Amino acid sequence: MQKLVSINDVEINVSVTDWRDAVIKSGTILMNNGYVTGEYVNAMVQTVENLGPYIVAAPGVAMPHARSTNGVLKSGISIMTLSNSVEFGNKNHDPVYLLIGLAGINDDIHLKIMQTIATIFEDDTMLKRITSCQNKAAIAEIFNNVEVDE
Amino acid sequence: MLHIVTICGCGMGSSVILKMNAEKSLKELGIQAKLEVSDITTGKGAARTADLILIGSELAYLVQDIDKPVIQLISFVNKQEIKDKLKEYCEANGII
Repeated sequence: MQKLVSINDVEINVSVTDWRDAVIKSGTILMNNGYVTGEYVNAMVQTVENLGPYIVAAPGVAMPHARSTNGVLKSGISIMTLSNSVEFGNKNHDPVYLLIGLAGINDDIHLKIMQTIATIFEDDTMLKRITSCQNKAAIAEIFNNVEVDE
Repeated sequence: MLHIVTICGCGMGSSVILKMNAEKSLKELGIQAKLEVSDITTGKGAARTADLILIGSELAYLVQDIDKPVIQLISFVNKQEIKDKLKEYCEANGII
């Protein structure tokens, strides 16, 4: 079976100026890997502008995304750790040091991705391993080795 | 059967995780329920036929005009919070 996350989906120690820059860089990884169009990357920023910082899902972790109709070409994710944390304005979960960019259409791959992410969020140890990991392949492997409850 | 709609901005991120965690929690509590994912645009329509709305607290202002019970989650990825709040709702409403 094809792996959920490849080394190209991961960037580490990325330097960003603010939340907007972080979301754009997270989206650019999705675009460069053929998951989304450039329009989608703009829509990821607009989602936060329109609806606020709700995409900061857990302490330190944001999940920038937009609607599938905003330009998703195929389901996928990007994983990006930051060299400097940024504030999104989420009082419960700021500052953010990990971004998991989502591109999803209604298919099995997206479902598997969301199951994997939900499982990782339940495990603080796994989240810490991801954010402190200095090897892109190892981060991809953490995601690929998650066992999800069906 | 309890009919629950989970809502987020786009209907493909947090609401999907909310639904998964709510499904697991309800199974553990022994409660049968029908769950549905929705984005904020179609969510208002879906909410009218539902018994209960689950939404992240950051977006809760978007459903404040809907006359249905709402459970707000500080963290939609925290299964324990979801389970505790669902249990409290079900106990208060005589479901368990």
